[in-house]
Amino acid sequence: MGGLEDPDLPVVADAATGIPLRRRWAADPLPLLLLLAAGGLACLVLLPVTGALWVVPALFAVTVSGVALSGST
Amino acid sequence: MASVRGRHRQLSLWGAFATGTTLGGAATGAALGVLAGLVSPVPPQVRLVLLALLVAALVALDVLSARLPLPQRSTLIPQEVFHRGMARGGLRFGLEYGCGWRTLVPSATAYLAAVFVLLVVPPWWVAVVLGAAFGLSRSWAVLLWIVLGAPGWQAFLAGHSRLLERAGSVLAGVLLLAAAWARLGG
Repeated sequence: MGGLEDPDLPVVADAATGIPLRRRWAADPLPLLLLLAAGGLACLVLLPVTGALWVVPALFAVTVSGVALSGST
Repeated sequence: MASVRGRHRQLSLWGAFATGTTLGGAATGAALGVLAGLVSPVPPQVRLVLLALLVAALVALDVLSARLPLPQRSTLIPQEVFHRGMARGGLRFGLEYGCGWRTLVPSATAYLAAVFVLLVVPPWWVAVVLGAAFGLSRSWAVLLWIVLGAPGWQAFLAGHSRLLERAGSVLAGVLLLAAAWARLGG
């Protein structure tokens, strides 16, 4: 969200903040995107995606799309 | 969130923002669902081939170009939307952000979702649900930041935002083609 990041907070190197890399990635949209995509691909493999079930991978896909763009907030 | 301190207030603002992004996405989905009716006379097999070509071209464009050379509104959502209160501003900001065409679109994923709805010609309510899911998911990074973020979050994310956008294009493209195949070719 433009301007939602606190402008008072200095941008400093991770090493200086002491914030672990694991926490950085936990707050990052990329692992979530990969998890959603894995869920969608698992649906393709495990479910007979025919008939009305075509909506399931489509829902995963548009959600992946939105998460991919959410990083520009 | 800029001048919003306290997790409770940030979550309230996110609620307004997420409502806006969901409604904005649903509105775009509804509009695309109506436009898709114009394409419905085209045989499904032709639409499937056309969709496959467009998805391949859009994904390749996203992967190969440093910045997405596709038509888009190259202006940011003005901060003035927050002048009438944070909650109202969050809702309006979300509406414009979630609709997928009122501000910068740095990845081809929005175009992929749009051509999918246009060429698959889903029932109107499916188009609305797909749009709403797209809009809602655009708000998730902010929620992640509120719950798990720490100083320097934006700088860390900026270091791999293009990877995020490109991965989204490739994976969404695969899933959309599979869904289109099940709908039109199966």
